Amino acid sequence: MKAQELCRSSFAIAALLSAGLVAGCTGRIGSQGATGAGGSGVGPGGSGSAGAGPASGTAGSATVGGGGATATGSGGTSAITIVTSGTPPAESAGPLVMRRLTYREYDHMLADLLGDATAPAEGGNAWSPDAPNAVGYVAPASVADLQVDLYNQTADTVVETALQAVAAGKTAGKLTIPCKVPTTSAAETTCATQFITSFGLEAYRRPIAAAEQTDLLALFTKVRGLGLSFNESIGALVKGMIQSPNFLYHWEIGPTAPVVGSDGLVPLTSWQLASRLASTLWETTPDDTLLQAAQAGQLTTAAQVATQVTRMLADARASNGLFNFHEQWLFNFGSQGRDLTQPLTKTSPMFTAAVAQGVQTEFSDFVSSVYTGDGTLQALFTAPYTFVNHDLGVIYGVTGPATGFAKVALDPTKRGGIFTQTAFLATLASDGADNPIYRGLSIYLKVLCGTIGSPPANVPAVTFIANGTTRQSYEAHGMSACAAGCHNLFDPPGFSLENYDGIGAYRTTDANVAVDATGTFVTPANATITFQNALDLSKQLAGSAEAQTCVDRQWTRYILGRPETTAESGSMSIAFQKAAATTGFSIRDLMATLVQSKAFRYRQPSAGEPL
Amino acid sequence: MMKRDLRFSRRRLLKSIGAGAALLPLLRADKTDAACYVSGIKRCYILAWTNGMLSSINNWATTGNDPTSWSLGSMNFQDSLKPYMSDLLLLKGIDYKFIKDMPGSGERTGHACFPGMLTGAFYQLLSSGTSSDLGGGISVDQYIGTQLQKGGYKGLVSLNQGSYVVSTGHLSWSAAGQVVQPNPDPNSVFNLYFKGSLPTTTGAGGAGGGRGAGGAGGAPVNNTSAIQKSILDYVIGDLNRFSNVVGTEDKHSIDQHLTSIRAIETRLQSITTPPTATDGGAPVSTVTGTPAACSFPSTAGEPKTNLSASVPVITKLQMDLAVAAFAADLTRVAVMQISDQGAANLIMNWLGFTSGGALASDPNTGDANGFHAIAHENTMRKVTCDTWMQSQLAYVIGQLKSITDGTGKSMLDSSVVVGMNSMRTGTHETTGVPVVMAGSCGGYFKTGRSLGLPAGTPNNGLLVALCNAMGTPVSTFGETSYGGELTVLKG
Repeated sequence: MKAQELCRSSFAIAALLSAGLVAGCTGRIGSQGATGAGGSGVGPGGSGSAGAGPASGTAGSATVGGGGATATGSGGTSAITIVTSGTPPAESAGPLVMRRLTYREYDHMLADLLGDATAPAEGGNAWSPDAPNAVGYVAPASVADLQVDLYNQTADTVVETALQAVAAGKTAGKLTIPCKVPTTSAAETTCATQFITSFGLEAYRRPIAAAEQTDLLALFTKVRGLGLSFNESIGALVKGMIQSPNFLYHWEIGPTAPVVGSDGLVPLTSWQLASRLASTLWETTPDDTLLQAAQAGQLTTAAQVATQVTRMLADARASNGLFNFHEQWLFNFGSQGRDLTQPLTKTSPMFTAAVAQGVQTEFSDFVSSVYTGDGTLQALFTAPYTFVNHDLGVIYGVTGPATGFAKVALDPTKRGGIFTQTAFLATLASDGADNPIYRGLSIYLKVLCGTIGSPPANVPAVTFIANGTTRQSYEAHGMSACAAGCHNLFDPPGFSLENYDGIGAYRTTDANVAVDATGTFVTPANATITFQNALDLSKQLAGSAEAQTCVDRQWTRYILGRPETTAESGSMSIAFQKAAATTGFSIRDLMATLVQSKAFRYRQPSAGEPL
Repeated sequence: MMKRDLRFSRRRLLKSIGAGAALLPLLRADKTDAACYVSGIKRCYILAWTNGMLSSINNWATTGNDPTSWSLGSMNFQDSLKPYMSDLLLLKGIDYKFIKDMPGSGERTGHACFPGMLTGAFYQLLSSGTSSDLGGGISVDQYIGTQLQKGGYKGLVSLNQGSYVVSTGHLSWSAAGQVVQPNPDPNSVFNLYFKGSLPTTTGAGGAGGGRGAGGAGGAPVNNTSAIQKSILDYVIGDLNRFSNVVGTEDKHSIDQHLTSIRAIETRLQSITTPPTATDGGAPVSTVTGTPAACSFPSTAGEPKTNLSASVPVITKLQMDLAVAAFAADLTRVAVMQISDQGAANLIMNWLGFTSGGALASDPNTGDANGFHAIAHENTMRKVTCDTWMQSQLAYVIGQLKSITDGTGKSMLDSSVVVGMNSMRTGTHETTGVPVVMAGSCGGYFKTGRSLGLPAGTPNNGLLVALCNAMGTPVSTFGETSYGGELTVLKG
C-alpha cells in the first residue's frame, strides 16, 4: 500500500461546511445525482464542442439519485430499482466505459510487466490526481497532455531500468528476451517476432494483431538501424507498447469483431473479461492462468467466471481491489479528511509514525479478511477484531506484535466492524479531534446511499463550547434553525461514534462528561433508526435492506466505473438475492454475482461504434 | 521558427545527465554558455493561489497613476514588491461573476472559483465536491498558447506547473471539460521539457545513460530523437487503429490522446532541425549578467512533492524552470498554482507554523494551523502567509526583470505577470479580488499604476486584455455577456 491512498480526498465538504463558504441549498454536498449535460463550450476560438459530461455519458444515468436540490435534503435514494425478493427484472447490460488505467493499475502493471519498484504515478512524486467520477469512484475516461507526457517519460525510465536488470541477469517482471543475443539479422528478426508475440500478449492483455505485429517489427528494424543494440531495440518495442492505447485503456480490442446479439447486446470477449476481472479484483494485468483461460475460451459462461473469481479472491493481489473499493466507497464523498500518512504526535501522541504507516495496512488487511472469511456485510460492520502493529495496538488497548502486523481480538463491548476502526475514525476527523459530521455523512451518503442538499449560505461554523463535549458543540450547531434541516439527517449517525476520539481511541467520557452515543435519525428511505451506540447502529445497518441495497449499488458503480442504469436492475437484483441467501448478507457473493452477471459480461454497443 | 538548440551546451548536458547531476548545487549558473535568451517575444506568466490575496486586517495598496502617487499595502505584506513599483499594475479588484451567476452554483464562493478563474465561463458541477468540477471553456493560457502555435510558434502551448497540488480543483482547460493538469514535480518538468530538448551529439550513446552505440559508430546525428520518433510513430499507428473501432465519445478521448502524442513529436522535431539565427524577426540575443536565463535549474536533491515542507523549494524550482523556459522560448505562457483550491493541510512550517489539532472556531477544514484555517482568522498569522505568497510573486517578477538583452530591455518588459487569487480575503469573497500585474507586455499595459476598479468588474475583461496584449486578439472571453476588454489597463 502506498502513501496517500487514504488522503486523496478533495476540498469540498470542509469548504462547504465552513462559515462564509457554505454553499446554497442548491449546491452539491453529497448529491449522488449524475449530471449528464455537456459543457457549454463558451469561450473564444469556437472551442465549444467538447462535451463535459461524466464518463461516457451513460444512458439513463441522469435518473440516478438526482437529489441535492433542496434545502432540507429529502434523502432521496437511487431511482434504479433493486428487487430484494421475488422475481428479479430481466437481466440486461448498459454501455461499457472505455476506461483509462487508474494510476494504481498503471503502477501495478508496470511492476508486473517490468519489475518496476518505483510506482511512478502514485509513488513519492505522485502525479496530479485524477478526479473521481459523479458517483465517487476514480474511473478516468480521457487523458490530459501532461499524462501523455508522463507516460512517455516513464516508458523511458522504467524500460531502461528493466533492461539494465536483464543485462545483469536479474528478472524484470515479464521482460524476458526469448533467445540469446542472435548473431544474424534473420535470427534477430525471429527472436524479435517471438518477443512481440509473448510480451505483446501480456501488455495488451490479448493476442497481438497482425497489423500490430508488422508495425512492431518495423519499429524494431528501424531503431536497430539507428544504432540501438539488440536488447535496446527490444526495449524500444516495450516503450512503444506501454504507451499504446491498447495498454493504457481498457477495451481489449479483438481478435474478432464485436457481434451484436439478438438482444441488442455485445458479449465481452474472454480477453476483455480476463482483463476486467484482473482490473476489478487485483488492479493489475491478468496473470497467466487468466490469459490461458481466455485463450481457451474458458471465460464465456457465468460458471467459468465464478471459478476464476474464487481463485482470484484467494490470491494476495485481491487486497488491491478490495482496498480500493472500500476506501473509495467510504471516504470518497468530497470530505477533506486527514492525511493519515502524517503522524499526529504533537496533539495525539499515540498517533505515531508507525500508526500513520500502519493504518492503511490495517484497513486493507481487515477488508481482505472479511472477503476471505465469511464474506458478510455483518462481518464488515460488526466483527470484533482487527490487524495491528505495536503502536496501533496501543490505540486499541491491546498488545500488538513487537514487529509487523498481527490479527488481534478486540473487546466486543467496545469495538466491532469497520466504523469502529482507526482508518474510519481518524480519517473522518479534524486532525486529532473527532468530527461527527464527517462520520455521519459517510454513513448517510455512502453506506445508505442518501443524497442531501447543500447547506444554505448562512449556516454558521461549529463553535466549540468551552469545556463542553464534542457532541454538545455539534448539537448546538446542528440545532440552529438553518442547519437543522440537514444536520438532523447525518449528525446522529456521527454521534453514535462519540465513544471514539479523533484518532479512534475508546473513551467513556468527553470533557469529563459521560459520552452520549445514543440517537435517532430518519434514513434516506424514511425508516427510523434508533440506536444506543455505534455497535448497536453498526449491527442495525448490517441487517438493513437499505444498507444492503446500497452496497449492491456501490459495488456496481465501482465495477462498471459509472453510475448504475436501469439496464443493471436485473443483475443487481439477482446479486442482492444471492447475497441475502446467506445469513449476514454475503457481500462476497454479491460481488462475485455481479461480475458473473449479464451486466458485467455484456455491453450495449457504443454510440457511433462500427459494428 | 526560433530554434532552441543554442540553449544548453553539450558540456552542461553531460554535467546534468552524468555523474554531475547529483553534485550540482541548485541553480548553479554557468555564464560562459550565454547565447540562449531570445528577446523581443511576449510572454505571459500567471501565478494563482487561494485563501485570499490579503487579509481583512491588511490593506491593499492605495491607488494612483504613477509610482510616486501610491503606496503598497499596510503591514508591509507587499514589501517584497517594492523594488518593482514602476513595473506593477495593481487592480482592486475583479469579480468572479461566473460563480454567482452560473446554473446550480448556489452560494458557491471562493474555493470553487478555480475552474472559472482563467476561463471566465460557467462551469459544470459534477459529483459532490469542488474536486470534480469541470471547466466550461478554454482557459486563457491554453487559448493564447494555441493561437500562438497556429501562428507558427513551435514551443509548448503553455507550461502548467504546481507546488503541493494534492487535490483536483483545476485552473486550466484545453476545452470545456478537458482538464490541463499542472505538473507538481520540477524534476518531471525538467525531464519532460528540458532534458528531452537538449541536443546530443553522441549518437545513441547520449541521454539514455547506458545505451551502447551499437553499430552506428557514434555518428554525429541526433539518434535519440529519431528513436523516440520511431516509437511514437508506432504509438500513433496504434491510436489510429484503436480510434477506428470505438464509439464516438471514446474516439474523442483517443483523438485527444493522439493530439498529445503529436505535441511530443513536434517538440522532438523542433530539436532536430538545425538552428537559425533569427525567428520571424526575433533575434537571438546574448544575455548579460543573468542568474537564470542560461542555466537550467538542477533538480537534484529535490524533496518529495506531496509534503508541505517542500513547498518553498518546489515553488522556487518551478519558477526557475519557467523563467528558463521563457528565456529559451520553450514556452511563451506559463501557469503556476501553489497548493490546491483549499490548501487545508498546507502547513507553512518554514514560517514557523506546525501542525496542531482542530481549531475550535472552525474544525471542519483540515489542520488548525493549515493555510486554510489560518486564512479564516484573517489575523497576523494570515498576514504572515500573505507576505510569503507576495514574495513568491516578487521572486518571479525579479527573475524576469534580471534577464536583459543587449539593449538593456528586460524580459519583464516584454512580458506580463499576473498574480491572482480565488478570493479577496480568507473568508471567501469573490468580489473586489485584488490582482497584481507586472510588466507591460511590450508596452501594451501602462504600468506603475494602482487602480481602483468599479464594483462589478468581471475577471473576463482581464482575460480579454491578456489575449489582446499577447497578440492573440479576442473581443470577449468566456461568458460573452460579461463584456469585453478591461481597457483601463492600457492607460
